[in-house]
Amino acid sequence: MKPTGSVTLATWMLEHLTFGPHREALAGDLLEEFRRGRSASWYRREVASAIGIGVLTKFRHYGPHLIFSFAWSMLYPLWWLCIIKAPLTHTMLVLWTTTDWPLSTSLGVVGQIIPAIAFIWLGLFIYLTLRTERTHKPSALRLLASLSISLNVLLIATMGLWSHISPTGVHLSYIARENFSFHSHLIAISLPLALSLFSAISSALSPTQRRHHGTASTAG
Amino acid sequence: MRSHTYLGEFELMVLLTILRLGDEAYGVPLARELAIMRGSEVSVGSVYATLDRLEIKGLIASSLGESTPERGGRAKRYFRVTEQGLRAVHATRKILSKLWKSLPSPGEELA
Repeated sequence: MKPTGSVTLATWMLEHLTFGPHREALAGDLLEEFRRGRSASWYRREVASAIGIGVLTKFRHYGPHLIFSFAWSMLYPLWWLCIIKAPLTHTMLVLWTTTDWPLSTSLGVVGQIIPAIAFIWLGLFIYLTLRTERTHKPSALRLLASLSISLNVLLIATMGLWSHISPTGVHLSYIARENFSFHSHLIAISLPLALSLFSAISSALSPTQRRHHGTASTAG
Repeated sequence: MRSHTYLGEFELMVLLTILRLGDEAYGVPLARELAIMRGSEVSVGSVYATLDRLEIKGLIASSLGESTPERGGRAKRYFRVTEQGLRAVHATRKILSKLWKSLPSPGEELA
């Protein structure tokens, strides 16, 4: 049997830098051809091509999700402005300022999180409506899971953002109470929002849903 | 679900090659057969990318085959065209046949 020492690195790259459910089969096919007499340079060329195609495919799939997520999250200051002007918000603010700790803190957190979640979920539903013609419609269960994922990502990313800006002298409570609606903070919060929306869309439109796989051999 | 599945040129070629190869339709023979038909080299990676896309669309299905020492213990993955895939091929042929009818012969004056 032909030794595979000359293509060890290429094989490692194929196994670790390519995506998709057929990675194993592709690696097996290339190895089989190599052992049947194909050159090492052919093998390396095929590996480079497979990696390139994999990256391009991923970008084509996730690129629109990512672009929409960031573009949508940029609208958050406008959304926040609409919320601030709403009569219900005014009532909530009065309630917040007249309530004692710890309820005031809880109200403050809820007042920040609910508009953010509503904004993300609205973005998700708009994107799904726009893409319905081009992609499959996600099931109710998948939609629920993607909403749950978006919430988790939002909380983790927001905590990460807060821990990042806290050492620079901005305290969490300070942002939450008086300074949160400043433009710089609204722009900074756009990053967790974009990540959250991206995770929701990617989860809802995962391409693995309609795959038809079998385990029994149909040939050979 | 969409009412029509439009096939790209390479997707159509891959589907027809799977039908042509029958029980031997897996990555390397597919790439080899396509290379013979097209008259130019076809990378196995591009064939798998198309197979992946067709499988997501439900036009083909795959199943695991035998694993051999030559393949480093990795199993082959065989592909077959589904009923939906066959319908898509026929629909594409119908559309293309209509379009071919208006193709002028070489040397004939273009409209």
